[in-house]
Order: sequence, then structure tokens, then C-alpha cells
Amino acid sequence: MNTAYEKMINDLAPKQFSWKGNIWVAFLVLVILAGMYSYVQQLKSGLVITGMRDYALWGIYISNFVFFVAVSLVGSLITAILRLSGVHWSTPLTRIAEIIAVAAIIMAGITIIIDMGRPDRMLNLFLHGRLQSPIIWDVIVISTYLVLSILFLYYPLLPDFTILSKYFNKNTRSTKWYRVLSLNWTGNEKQSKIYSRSIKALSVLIIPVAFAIHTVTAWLFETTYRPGWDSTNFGPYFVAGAFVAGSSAVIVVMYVLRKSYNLEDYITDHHFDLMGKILVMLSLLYLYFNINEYLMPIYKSTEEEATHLRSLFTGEYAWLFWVVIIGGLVLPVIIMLFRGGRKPLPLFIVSLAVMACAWWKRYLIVIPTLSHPFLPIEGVPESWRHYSPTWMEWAITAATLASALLIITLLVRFLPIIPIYETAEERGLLEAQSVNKSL
Amino acid sequence: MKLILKISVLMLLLTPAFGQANKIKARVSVLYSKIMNQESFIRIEAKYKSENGIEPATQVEFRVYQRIAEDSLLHLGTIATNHSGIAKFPLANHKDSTTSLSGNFSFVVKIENDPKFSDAETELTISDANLVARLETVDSTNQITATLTDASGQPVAGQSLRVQLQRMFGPLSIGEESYETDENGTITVPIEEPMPGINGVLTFEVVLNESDEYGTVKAIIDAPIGLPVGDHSNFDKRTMWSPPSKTPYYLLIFPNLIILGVWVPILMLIINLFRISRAKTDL
Repeated sequence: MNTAYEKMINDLAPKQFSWKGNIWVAFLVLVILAGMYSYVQQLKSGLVITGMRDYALWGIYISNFVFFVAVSLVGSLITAILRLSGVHWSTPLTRIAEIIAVAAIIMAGITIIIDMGRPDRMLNLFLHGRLQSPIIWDVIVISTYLVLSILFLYYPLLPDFTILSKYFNKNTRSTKWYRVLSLNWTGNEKQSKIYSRSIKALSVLIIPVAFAIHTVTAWLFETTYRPGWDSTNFGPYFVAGAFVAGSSAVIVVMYVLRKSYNLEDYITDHHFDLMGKILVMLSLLYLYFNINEYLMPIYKSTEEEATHLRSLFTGEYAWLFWVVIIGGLVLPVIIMLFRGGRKPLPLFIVSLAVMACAWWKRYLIVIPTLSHPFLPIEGVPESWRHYSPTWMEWAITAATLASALLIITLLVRFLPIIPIYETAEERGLLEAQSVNKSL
Repeated sequence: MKLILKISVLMLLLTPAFGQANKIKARVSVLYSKIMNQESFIRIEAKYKSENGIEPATQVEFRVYQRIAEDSLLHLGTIATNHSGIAKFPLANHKDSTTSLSGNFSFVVKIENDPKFSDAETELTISDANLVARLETVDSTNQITATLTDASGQPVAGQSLRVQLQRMFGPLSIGEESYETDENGTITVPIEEPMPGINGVLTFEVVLNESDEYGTVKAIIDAPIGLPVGDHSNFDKRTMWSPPSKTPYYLLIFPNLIILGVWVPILMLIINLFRISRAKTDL
């Protein structure tokens, strides 16, 4: 009897929601229902129910889409890059990162459909899509990344499913599902060989696709000649920002799950400390790209760029811009540079602020540029000159965020939050248990 | 290419027939155009006054007649206005049946029993005229010479003719605004400035515009006296703005190679899941 191994399985096996969990799910469902009501209105009346008009033709739907794409990038960072680098401390965080990536990329795809005035014509994108169009590149790369993310979540789960099918041997329904999903995994030599090769191939494959997904999203903007978007810096600028958003999302989720499921033995203060350091590095990198993105255009100050940047620095969007830059990048970096700032609770609060600012940062990338076209805005109603999202737009956007959280919540309900097999392997519990023989 | 004579006969017909009281009065104008050696037609335009101002009267059916005697009309056909309130009624062999001895002919255009508009009638009387244009070279100078004659072949003097060159977005006037025909019904206009044309061909138009008596009559001639310019249009070529069937080759090759390079391993990874499932035992 390997009690340490059994305790670990007992700790990490999926558990039913507590009353708090049920209230959380009910809350998310309510938000989603409110969003669905608004979306039905949008389907009936069209995009006229939004604040988008001729000039601000992209609104919070698109900034929300960019945010989801950014967050989805985290799966490749935590899982693939650290795995290929031979870093083992991140093992307890890989499942969380993969779950976030899957939830975010699903919602990114759905958000794009929400932004369509005629979603019934979506099939035309595939039937009549032109490879010259960045929209098609985005469609291709998002669907590719979705498949890869699901595979990347699923492969490491195979041994865990076998373990869980035995663990839940009294609950026939769960046992049946976990057994089916385990694909007859016994951990024999042949299976292990295919498994190891596949995980390695996935780790290699997902990195360029993850970079491509956010680079292509940046190109959606960059290929349009507009002040604020006309930059060769946009691809890496977006990727750097995505790493910041994704890492903060992992920290937030890992803190909540650690608290909810008492996982202090597996997600330790050391993990928070290291994730804090990673977030500092990524934030500094992103800050560097931000300086590049704003300093050179304001130095040259061509008329249109100057108008656009003035609105960000001192004008209509100034308060939001400075909150995002200072509150979402500068202050977090300063706080996290101190060891105390990388403790779980302070890091959780800092990461929440970084995430919120990351969302608003996408808003600042999309909206002010559209409000300052090259040709002057003339002969249109005053309300068209400024974009202001309607409550229905907010409701739909909130519903997409709630949907992402619901996907994460449901996956956490049925999947082990921390990879059982890999953790046992790293802790040397498999030899004692002969897991590879019988699991 | 059409020139149009606008004989603006504005008729608001108030036919006092029973059932017409609540119908809208249409404002109808009838225009006659003749393009030598090509076509002649009547252009009908219908408008009405609404709360929002003057709007085109769409899908209004007009019956077109030719007057063959004082009290006798011959039905030529029916035509409906388009979304702009305009209808173009082609005339075929009208001269045979409508030209009187004096070379005059008349058309009557009617709205009859329209569900929305009250009955209306407009008559248009035109004298037939012919316009012949030719290119001549005198002392190394190119010139356009045009002669206007009536139905009996007699020159028509004192009419204003325009000479213009067809360009992409509209005609370009050549020389003065208009030239008056002399006693031989003729004008002569020198072409002094060299102008570019596709393959060196310039298309000139000589136009009698909106004459009360003859309507609009136009003669068109192609003259190989332009500075040759090549056709640089990339329409139908493989460009960034072409349809999917005309995608540039490099955009077909490289992205598809990348897609294959990613999706073949993905398919292998999916197959590997089946292989894992089948490899339940080491055998």
C-alpha cells in the first residue's frame, strides 16, 4: 500500500462542487442568459443594437476577441516552452494553463461570430474565403490552434483518466467515462513510446502556431492603414502582451483553485514566486514594446498619429490609458520585484489588475484608432463620432467572459486540476506503485 | 454611349376618371435619342412628389404608342421604370411606319390603370435628322468634319453641334463649347492637341444636343490618331484584390505548404490516439 500515492490521488481527483461552487456556476449561467437575451435581440435587429457605426466599426467585441486570443497563448508558454526547456517546477500548473487556453480559444472563435452582422453567412468565409485576406489567415490559425490546444490538454490526461477510472470504481458512470476517455491506457512500453513522442511533437508544434495566432491577429490591424495600427512592431507587440495577459490569468486561476481545493501541497508559494518572476520579465518586455509603439510615432508626430496619440496621452482616453500603463504594467512590475509582492495573495491581486488592464489595453488598441481616421469625419450624426458600447453589447461581452469561466469551471469539475501521473512520476511515487504496469 | 434629348414635356395628368382621385400624380418626362448606325430609343423618366420631396416613381408601367393618324395610335410596346424611375424603350424600324411626308413622327407615352399613379399621357414629336462625321487630314492637321441633314437629305444650317472625345469618366469637349452648322449643314473642327488613346484609337462624338426639332442626334467615329497607351489594367490578373480563383501563386503555395506542414502532424497525432488505444498490450 503506497499511502502517499493514494493520498495524492485523493487530493487531486475531481470533486463535486461545494455550495460556493454551485452558486458560482449559477451566477455564471445567469450572466450568460442575460447575454443570450441580448444576442437574440442582436440577431433580430442587427448590429444596430450596438454602439458600432460607420467609423467605430469594431467595438468591444473585437477588443474582447483580441483579449481571448491573448489569454489562449498561455497554454504554449507554461506547457510547451517550459516542458521543452526541461523545467519541472511548472508541472502542477500545466493543466490549468491548458484548460485556460482551450476555454479562451473557444470563446475567441465564438466572439468573432458574435461580431458578425450576419452569422448565418459564416459558411461563406470557408466557401468564398480569399487567401489574400488576413481574416482567412485568422480563421485558419484559430481553428488550428483550437485543435492543437484540445490535443495538448487531452494527451497528458490519458494516464490520469486510467487512474481516475480505478479511483471512481464505485461510481459506475464516472468510471465508464474515464475508462472510455483513457483509450485503454495501461502505460505499457508501446503506449508510453507513442505518448512521449506525441507530447514532444505537440510541444514543438504548438509554439509556432501559438505565435502565429497572435501575430495574425496583430496583422488584422496592421494590414489596415490607420494611425496607431501602421506599425511593423505589431506582431511581437501583441505576442508580448499576450504572454502578460495569459500568465496573469494562470496566476489568478491557480490562486482560486488552490484556495478552493486546498492544493497548498501541490501549488506552493514557490510556484507563485516563480510565476511572479516570469510575469515581471514578461511585463518588462511588454513595456519595452509599448515604449517602441508610442515613442517613435510621437517623436515623428505626423498629423494623424499626433492626433491619435494626443487623445491617448492627454485627451479623451487619457485616464484609461494611464491607468492601463501604470496600473497594469509599471506598478505591478514594481510590486512584483519585491519578494513580498510575489506571495500568493499580493500576486493574485496584482495579477487581477494586470488582467483587467490587459482587457482595457485591447480596447485602447481598437477604439481610439477607429475614432481618428485619415479622412475627416463629416456629414454624420454627432453620435457616430464617438464609440460608446450599449448595455446589450456589455451584456453579450460579459456573457462571453462568463462562458470562458464556465468552461474552465466545468473542466475543473471533471478533470484533475494537477496532472496526477506526471506529479507522481516526478515525486517518485510511480516506482513504488508500479503505475506503469497497472496504474 | 448615348446622348439624350430631353423633350421635357411635363404632364401631370389629371384624368378625371372614377377611381383616380386617391392616386398620385406622376411627373413624366420623355427624351429621344438617336445614335447614328446604332440605335434610337425613348427615355422615360417618372417622378412624384412625396412627403420626403421628389422621388423616383419605380415599377410604373408605360404603354408606348406611335401616332399614325390624327386619331389613330399604334401600340408599340410596354415598359416599366427601374429603381431610379427610368425606362429606356428601344425603337426599331420606327421610320417605316411613323415618318410622315415631312419627316416628322410622333410617340405617345401613357400610364394606364396603374394601381398607384393616376393615368397620364405625354406626346413627343420629332423630325428625323442624320448626322455624318468623318476624320480628315488637311496639311498634316487632323480635323473632324460633320454634316447634319434632315429626313429629305437637305443640309440643316444654324444648329449647334458639340465635338467631344470619349474618356473613362465622361466626354471631354474638343475646341469650343459648340460649333454652328453652316449653310451646308457642316462644321469643321481641328484636332490640334495629341491625346492618348488605348492602342492609339480615339473615339470622337459629334452631338446635336436636345434640339427641340430633332432631339438628340449623335455620330461616333473611331480615329487612329491618338498617342498609343497600353492597357495596364490588372483586372482578371492574380492580385491581392482578386477573387479566390485568381489568388497569386505565392499566396497559394506558401500558406498551403504551411497549412500542410502543421495539419499533417496534427492528423498523425490524432492517429496516434487510435494507436495508443489499440496498443492495450505490449504485443
